[in-house]
Amino acid sequence: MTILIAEDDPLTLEALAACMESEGFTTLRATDGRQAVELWRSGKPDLLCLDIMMPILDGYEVCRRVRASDHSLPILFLSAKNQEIDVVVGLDLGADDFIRKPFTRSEVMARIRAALRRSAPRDAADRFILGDLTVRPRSLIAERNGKNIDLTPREIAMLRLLHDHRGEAVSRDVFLDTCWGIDYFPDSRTLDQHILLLRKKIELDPANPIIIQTVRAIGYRLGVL
Amino acid sequence: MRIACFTLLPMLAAAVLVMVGGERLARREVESRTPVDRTRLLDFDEAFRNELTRLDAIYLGHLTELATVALKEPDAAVAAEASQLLGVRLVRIFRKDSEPSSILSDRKIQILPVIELSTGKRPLNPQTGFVLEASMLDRPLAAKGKWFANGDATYLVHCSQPEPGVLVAVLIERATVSERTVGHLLSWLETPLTPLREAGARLLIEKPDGESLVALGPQSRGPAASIIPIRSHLGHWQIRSWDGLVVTHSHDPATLTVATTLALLLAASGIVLFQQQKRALRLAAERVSFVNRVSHELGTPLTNLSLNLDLATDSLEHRPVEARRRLGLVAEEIERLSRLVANVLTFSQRERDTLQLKPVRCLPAEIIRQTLENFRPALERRGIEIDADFSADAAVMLDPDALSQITGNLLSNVEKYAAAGKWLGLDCTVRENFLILEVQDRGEGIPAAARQRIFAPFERVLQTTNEGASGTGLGLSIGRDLAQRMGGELELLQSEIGATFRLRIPAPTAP
Repeated sequence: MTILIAEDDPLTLEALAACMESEGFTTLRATDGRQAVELWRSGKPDLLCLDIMMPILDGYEVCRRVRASDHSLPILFLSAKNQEIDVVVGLDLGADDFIRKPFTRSEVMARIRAALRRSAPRDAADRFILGDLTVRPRSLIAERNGKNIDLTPREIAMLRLLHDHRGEAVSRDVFLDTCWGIDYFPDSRTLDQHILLLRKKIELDPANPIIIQTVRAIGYRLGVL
Repeated sequence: MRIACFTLLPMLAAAVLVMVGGERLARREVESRTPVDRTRLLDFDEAFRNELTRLDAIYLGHLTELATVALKEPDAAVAAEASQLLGVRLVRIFRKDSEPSSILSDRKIQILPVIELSTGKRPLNPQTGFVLEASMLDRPLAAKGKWFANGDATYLVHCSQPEPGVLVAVLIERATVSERTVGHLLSWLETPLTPLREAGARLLIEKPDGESLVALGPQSRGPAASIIPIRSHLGHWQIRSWDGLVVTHSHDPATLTVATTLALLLAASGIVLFQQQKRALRLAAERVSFVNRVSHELGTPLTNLSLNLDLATDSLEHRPVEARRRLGLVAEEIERLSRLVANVLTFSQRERDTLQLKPVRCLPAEIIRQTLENFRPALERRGIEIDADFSADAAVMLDPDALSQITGNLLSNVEKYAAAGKWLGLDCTVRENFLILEVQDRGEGIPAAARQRIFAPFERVLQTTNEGASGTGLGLSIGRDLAQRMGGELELLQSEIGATFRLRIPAPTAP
């Protein structure tokens, strides 16, 4: 999943991108409004995070131009402008959410996931089943007994990899190449940490995992059908 | 406009009220009377009286003739004759030895007052009928006959004696005769009234019914100066006249002066009050805007602190290099926050007049270099090339914090507003006990209209919300104020590209 971030402060732009990439999102970065419009046209992102006060074109104008041709793309404003009128203008222009600075990583990521979930199609094709767990990749959730579990794109990718290789052990290298990319060199423990976090989310008893089982010296495999 | 409703308009209204009231108080009314021209009035009276006598005589002649006809001609002829005569309704003939007879001028008339002799068998109501003395048949009447009127004077009766032992009474409807008389008089009066009208007389001719026939001059008020009554058989007329009245107005200068002064004072107070209120509101709005801008300015560095601390925490264990880099960014953001807080504090101290500078021995080039180094990562992230020249290595006496703050504000402006120029020139020299620091950029520059305005508090080149970069609008204002407090100046120089600011402050060599 790709997120376009338009932010004129280089530090904020870099930190936001790092937060999103750590959850498995791909990012496109723009430092002014015009660049944001160009990247939106060429990069086909799944979500837009726009600052308001930017050079050349402000965030409102970018939102107006995007909304002129795309009514469903989730758009979030991330701005230090914190007056009520700024929020109202942003939402009236068609934005899905308005996050006021200062914000924390967990807040911005939760709002991004929520926006993606709201915009995801609720069709049968957008799901795969792991035992009693139904995973909806575009909604970034897994369902069990009517309860939703939030997942990141990387966690979805890991579950999909296990699902696609049902009955096989998936090696650590395949995991890293598929879910992090071949250009990424994660620490050897990165995968184990992510598996640990994922088990906490989806396993009924993380200490005795059923869905994601460890295969010694190789990697992991799916423990359910 | 709303402020004006509470201050200016009420004060102006009060001023107008005072002016109007003063004018009323100062007004003096002087009346001068001119008596009516008595000769012209008496001439008119005589003419009017003659005309009424003439009309009386004509009417009386007709009545006498009708009485004669009534004795000689048959009833039908008498009725025809009576109907020709204005106002006649009934002719009643009393003879000595026979019953009286009546001839109606118009058979359609049903209800008329009764005319009887006092010897009549039926008692009569004198309010609705005429009771003539029976003795009138026996004694001779004057040639012009005798007039009677009923109770409410709506009818008149004229009695004549065409031959001895016969009495002819004619019943006349007064309103009909009066109407014709008034009609005639209205056209007749035009000429005889001319001399009085030319003399400007105030006069009124009153009809027998008390109504006005003609009035000259302004409407009369109060009792008349003279009343001339004129009696005729057809009614009583009056000529009322008043003295000519000329009213002149003057004003008491002392009262008028006091009122004018008071009104001017009120109006001036209103204007002063209005301007002060406007200024107070503008200042309040600026303060609210300032608070908003400061809170806005805090948003971005606080976000960066939060995100980078989270990312540094994630990397701390397995990627210490990345964690160190993130913590470096955190330090940078703390520096940015410190500058903001310093500016707000300096502004606040300046407002309360508690700002004090403390010159100490220091190396200005070192201070400026250190400030530049703090900015270097941020400038380089925006792709700004730095061209710095320091030739001020000697120790001098000045306030290092103030110099650092001014330099920081100038560099911050380049970072925020002139990053598009991709270049920063910094030149620092000491000449003739003065430190001269020039900060140049190749950005969009500052429009001529904004060259002075940018040094005022809260002012920025672009004031709209859509501008590309934020800011409190305090940097240059504080910079110039600090420079002036140090005995120097911060000014914007003319430059072909971008903007060039020059700081020139006294820097005596340190002992």
